[in-house]
Amino acid sequence: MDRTFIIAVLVVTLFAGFLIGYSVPPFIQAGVFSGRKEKGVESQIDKGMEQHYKDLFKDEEEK
Amino acid sequence: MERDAKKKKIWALVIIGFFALVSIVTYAYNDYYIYLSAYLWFGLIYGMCLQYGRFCFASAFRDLFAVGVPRMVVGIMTATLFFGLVSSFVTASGFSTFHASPSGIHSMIAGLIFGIGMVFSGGCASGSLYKAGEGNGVALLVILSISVTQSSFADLGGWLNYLVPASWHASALSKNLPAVINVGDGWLDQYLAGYVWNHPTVTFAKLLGLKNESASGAFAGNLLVGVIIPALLMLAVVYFIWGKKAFVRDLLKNKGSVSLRDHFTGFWQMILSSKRTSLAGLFLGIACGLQMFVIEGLRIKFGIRNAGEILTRLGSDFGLSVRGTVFDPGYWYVTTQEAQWVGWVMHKLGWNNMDNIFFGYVNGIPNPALNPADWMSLSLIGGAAIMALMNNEFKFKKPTMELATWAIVGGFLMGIGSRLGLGCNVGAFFVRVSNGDVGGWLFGLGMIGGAFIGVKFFNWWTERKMAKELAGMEI
Repeated sequence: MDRTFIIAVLVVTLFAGFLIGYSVPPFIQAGVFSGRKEKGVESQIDKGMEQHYKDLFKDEEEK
Repeated sequence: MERDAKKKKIWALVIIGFFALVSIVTYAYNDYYIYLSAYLWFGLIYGMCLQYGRFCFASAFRDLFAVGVPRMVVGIMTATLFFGLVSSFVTASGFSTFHASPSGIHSMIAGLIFGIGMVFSGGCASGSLYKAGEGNGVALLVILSISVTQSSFADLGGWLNYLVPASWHASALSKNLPAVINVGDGWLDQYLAGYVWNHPTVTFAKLLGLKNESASGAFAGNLLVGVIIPALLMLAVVYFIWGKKAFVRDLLKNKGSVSLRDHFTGFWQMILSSKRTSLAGLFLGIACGLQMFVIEGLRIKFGIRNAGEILTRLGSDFGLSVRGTVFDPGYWYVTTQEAQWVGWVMHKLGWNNMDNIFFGYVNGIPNPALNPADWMSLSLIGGAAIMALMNNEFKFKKPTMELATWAIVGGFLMGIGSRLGLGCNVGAFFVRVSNGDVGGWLFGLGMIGGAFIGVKFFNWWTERKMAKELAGMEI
């Protein structure tokens, strides 16, 4: 097989593998892989950020 | 010649090295950039798969309707089956980032317009991206035309408002959108809020009374009823109209008759004949599923629902929608980000396009350098370039005036079709069908009809042109 192709596949696999590995722990922490009944995940949204987004709808003077 | 091929391989490594460097440097600068890198690497994989499999809907239907070759259509349907299988796993596991879109007759009309456009331009939305990676100038023009059309269409009002039915106008106003969104002005705004949003989002699982996230809903509803049965039916139609011709002719010559068993053999041969596109489809399907998984994992890690929050934390809140969001589908998409980068340029040039639903309420117009979906499209072109360079298929091709005209006209129609159908051949068909969205098939049926009309028109145009040229020669 072509050496350039092997290098390209290796680099892509390396980065994609890192990304997959990086995203597994959050699922574990959220309890998705444990035997809980409810499927799916709910992001824990930062309270300050939530308020920031609520404020986006307000007029300047209301803030 | 050999030296040229070697040079191209070095260029392929340079491109992949560039993307690796971007990922490493940005991640070292700030953790949040990993979210954008996720889009980048999956985009690169899509580009490599598309170029390898010649995954172009326009070429597929043109080959089928113009010369009766079903190879690529079969490959695309096989790819859809594979992606459907992966999507069902992802959905049943609860990791899916997919949301069904409102379905109705508008999906079919949008598909029809899109289908005509893709045949005119010689490349669908995804096909144009990978062809641009091969150095094709016509494909670049198509992308530009789709982008400008969508971006302008999203904000156009004026005399177009007179074409809006009163019921759409009233219904749009009743949605109580924020005051900064001028929903009563603009054809697309009133079409979306006053018409499309009134339609239900329907999946095959829902139709059968099942939950999308349940194993029965994902596999029996969305996969079996929503993908496998219709795809097999479509393949059977393709076999009986186009695929069986040569096979039956040879069989009649050698054996004298054709049994049902022979037809099954012929059907299977037709499937195997498109190995390259099918293989690309298998990897596309796996990559699409993995991207959903990774993006969902990153969202949990960072405690966000949308990339808009990441951009805010990175200190770049320009171009966020009124809800603080940007376009962040979490899976493969093509056309919306193309509209966004032109929208961003137009905004910088003084066009206030943030008072419409498309940009101002939903997708935003973030800086293209920080737009996750733009990272995906750019790396998709890069991925296609890497494959083309490695296989010595990369070549700069300047468009002729005639091809450029068709590219612009076709791109215009695809841009309109994309906005009416809420996506292109990828976002409104491939992804939606694979995830059991009924509207995906409606768009697909319209797209096939449009491709048929486009091919017939082209045949008529070419014959007319040739007749004229022949008449000129006689003189």
